[in-house]
Amino acid sequence: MIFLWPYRMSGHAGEQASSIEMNPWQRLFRNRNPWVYIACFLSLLWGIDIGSAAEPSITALGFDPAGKVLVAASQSYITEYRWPGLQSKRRLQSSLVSIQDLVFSPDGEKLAVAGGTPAESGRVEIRSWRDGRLIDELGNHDDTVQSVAWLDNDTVITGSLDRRIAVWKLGQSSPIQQFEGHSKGVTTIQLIADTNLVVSGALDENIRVWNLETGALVRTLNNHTGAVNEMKARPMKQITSSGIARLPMLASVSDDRTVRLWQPTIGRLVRFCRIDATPLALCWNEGGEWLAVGCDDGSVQIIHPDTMDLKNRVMATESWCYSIQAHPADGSLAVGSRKMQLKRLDASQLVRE
Amino acid sequence: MFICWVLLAAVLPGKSDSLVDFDHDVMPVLTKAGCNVGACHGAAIGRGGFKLSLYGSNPAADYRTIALELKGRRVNLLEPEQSLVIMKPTEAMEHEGGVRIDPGSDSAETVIRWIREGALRSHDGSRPVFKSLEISPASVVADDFDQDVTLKAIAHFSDGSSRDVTRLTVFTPEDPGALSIDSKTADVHVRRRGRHIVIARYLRAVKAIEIIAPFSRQVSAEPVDAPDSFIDTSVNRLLKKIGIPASGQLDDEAFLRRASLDLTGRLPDGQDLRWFLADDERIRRTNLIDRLLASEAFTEYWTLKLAKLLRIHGKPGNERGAEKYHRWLEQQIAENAGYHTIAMSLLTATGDTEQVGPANFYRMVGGPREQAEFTSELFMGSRLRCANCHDHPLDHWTQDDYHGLAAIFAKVRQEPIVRVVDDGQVINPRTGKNAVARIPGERYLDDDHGALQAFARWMVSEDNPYFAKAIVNRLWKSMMGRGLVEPADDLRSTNPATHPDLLQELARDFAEHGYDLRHTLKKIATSDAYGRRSEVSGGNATGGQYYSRHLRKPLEPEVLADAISDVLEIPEIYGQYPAGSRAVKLINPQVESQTLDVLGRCAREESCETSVAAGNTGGLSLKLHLFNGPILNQRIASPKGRLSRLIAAGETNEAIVQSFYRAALSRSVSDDERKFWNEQINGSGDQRRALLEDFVWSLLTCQEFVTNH
Repeated sequence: MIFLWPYRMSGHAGEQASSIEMNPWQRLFRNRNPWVYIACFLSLLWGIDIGSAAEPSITALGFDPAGKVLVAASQSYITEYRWPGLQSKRRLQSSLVSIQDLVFSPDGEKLAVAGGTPAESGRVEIRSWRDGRLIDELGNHDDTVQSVAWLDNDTVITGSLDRRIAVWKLGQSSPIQQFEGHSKGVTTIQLIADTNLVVSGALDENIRVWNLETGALVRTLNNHTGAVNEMKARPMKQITSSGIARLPMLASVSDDRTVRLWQPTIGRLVRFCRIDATPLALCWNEGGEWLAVGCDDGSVQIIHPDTMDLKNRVMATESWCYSIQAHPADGSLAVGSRKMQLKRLDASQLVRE
Repeated sequence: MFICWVLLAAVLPGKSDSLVDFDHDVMPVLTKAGCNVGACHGAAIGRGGFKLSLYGSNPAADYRTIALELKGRRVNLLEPEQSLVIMKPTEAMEHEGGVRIDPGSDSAETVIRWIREGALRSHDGSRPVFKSLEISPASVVADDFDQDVTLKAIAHFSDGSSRDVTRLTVFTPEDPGALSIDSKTADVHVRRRGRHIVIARYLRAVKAIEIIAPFSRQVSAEPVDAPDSFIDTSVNRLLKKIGIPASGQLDDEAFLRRASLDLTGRLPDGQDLRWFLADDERIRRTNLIDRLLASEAFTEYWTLKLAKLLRIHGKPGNERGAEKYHRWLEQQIAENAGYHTIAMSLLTATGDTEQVGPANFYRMVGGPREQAEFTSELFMGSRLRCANCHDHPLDHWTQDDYHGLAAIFAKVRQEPIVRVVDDGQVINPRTGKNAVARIPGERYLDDDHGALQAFARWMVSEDNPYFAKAIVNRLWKSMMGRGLVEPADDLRSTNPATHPDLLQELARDFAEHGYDLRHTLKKIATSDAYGRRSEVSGGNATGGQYYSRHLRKPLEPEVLADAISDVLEIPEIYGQYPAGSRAVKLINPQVESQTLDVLGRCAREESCETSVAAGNTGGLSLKLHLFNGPILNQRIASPKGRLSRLIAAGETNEAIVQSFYRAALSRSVSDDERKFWNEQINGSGDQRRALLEDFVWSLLTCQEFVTNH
């Protein structure tokens, strides 16, 4: 009767499910079409092989600030899962043809849903997380918004494949600031905490550092030799226990198969490592002690940022890891990939002593 | 029960017996639509942020691009019709390339179905793999000029199955002005008479189809069967097939000039003519060929020809090495060493380049990739260089072949002391890793250190399908004015020989006779095809490439320079070489010489092979220099030259004209010409000398002199 449940859960007996896959029938059941149930029953009765249907990829993940809920985006849908059990709670349908990023507001009240119609338009939906209601729609990009970040509870910044970066105030239809300079689409943006800097990465292989207030380009970091796929700022204390001030640090992954660490405030490439697959996504654990890189071979590679040594390599899925998120407290990871596979990796699986 | 089945069919995503396969179904659609051509997304940097492999040579990379990159943005699995990959080419969305796939067409449906089924790619070995493409007919003679020819393409797969892929095959005429092809039905319409080639492409397979529209139904009177010469049999058969008459045989004097220039790079002198004419008429030409092949002049001239092929030149600091190399080559020619022996020596020689001549083979180009390109063009007649960046779009060479061959040469230190080392590597850009040594198109080589020896052994073995063909095609071109395959360094199935059977037979015969250059040259020189007149006869103006008449060949710069010197009896000065040195004997191709510069010599830093069109005798610059420059004008007037000598000896105008005709054109002056010159040269004293100088100038600038015809 596996077909009659829209999600297939997997895990060891007696344990909580650690991963789910969208069943090929899921889209049919979503429509609540009674004929589907009848047909399923008949197909089981007569053993008809109805084949597989398309399974959209999971393209974005996000934890709520409390770490109790994981949201996953797949094409036009946002699904809410309980963490760590990965039970589906509710599903929202977006007007976006393709969702590329999900980010909760700092107060956890709102969810920014970024995406658009490929090669046509890019927007961000601002939704009330409590009831899923659409609060606002921002953006007039000419291609999908690949990355979004909250500046505060009422302001977001977007990076789009139309090469533009823009700052939007909720309730206003036009951007309050724009940054232009990338020669190809912007894939990722990151704010540098406690500074007035925003950093963008793009298909043009460059990372650019911008002044948020003036819109001026501060510097370009051009060491990558392939498209920059994602960047994440390292969460760490700015002042060490010995009282030394630390510079902000940023990690980037690229089609050139490198992971690079930067100090964007001074434009320094701190160190880098080369890995054996193309890294697509990354995240830091909550303390910034390690970073996890999701790759095109389905692996998640755990890298020590001080040495750039590979600490562990976990085969999370058999397809491309498009999104990876660290839980804000328990040290586990959520991995989203092609074929609608969502997986939880426990802390014990990730870091070997 | 029936109702249930109907219900099922209505609401379920039914599974057809055959799922759409990305490699075998979707890729051909994109290729057929022209999406992956070099001018569009197949360009090295792609177009509009979307890059495909050229002609779909790398399905794995294309699958990544289409289905996986940028979080799979180009496919919409929920609404396949809304996918970028189909909306762009159907222009449902703005597309710079316009409509490439008709909305609602089978092609569009194929792509949509593939997305609906999950946009997957099978690479686990569960699906049959494409093996080969068969086109029928492979060769056709269109008897009726207005007759359409319908082509059919069948793909064969690893499980033994076959499939009609005509609809998915791209048919491209080599000359769009000669043929038109309906891309949907594969109907070929002949617009112009002649022999035409259509290139068929399905996946990685490319095939050439020959379509002949005979010029005339009046078959040539030329006898088809020539039991003594497979050359004439092949040439005559094609002439008959294509309906082109052959020109007659040229006279003995003209044959002497042609053969002398082709085999020795020299004009025949009076002694040569006397010996030739004194011979028995029946064996006169054969004896002449034997005599020329055995001469020192043959060794000198063919050393020059091979030196150009081998690009022997002295880089600064390696002049002595280049000289050693040249001397070694000259010795090989003089001793009639087999071409395979020469090649083996070149590929495997190591040591001090000032002591070991053939070791300089690795000093003529820089770097393992350049060496791979040079070696493949030289010994295989194949342009591997395309496969540096992508699999060859018109041949079977892959990036692995190219970089695998470069990996072999990466072990050779191209230094003053050439040696084989263990640590040389090149990166294969396809894998991003060190390339694995590989014999192109054959096999990987496990033993890195012995890879060079293994490659050299394969190169000269009879298993190598390219080696003998590459050199006999060049010998043929040198003698006949046009290669059986043109360009001579571009042998591939999609650039077929005009006479495939002849090329095959020449190669077989060459190998069977110990890769003896002289043997094959004699075979060609004694054929009727070689002995034909160059003048158009019986409407065969367009049949030069089929050897219905002999093609005029411009004299090589060195040969022309020597010929001018011989006719004028004024030696040319070449740099530091002693006065009287012949240009064909110069070792350094960059020696100071304005004459050779003007005549267009090859510096040998790159390939000297060019496609020589019949009748091409140089550009405007050369003409202007010959007409007005010092190459001729100063030397004609020299008091030490032939003209001054004859005038001083009191020779008559007629005797002087005759002497120059003999020397320059290797023939007697005709009655009409004699009459003409008598009328033109009618002064005395200085005026007479000026008129005679004009006569000599006109002789040395005429087509008959500057070409071998």
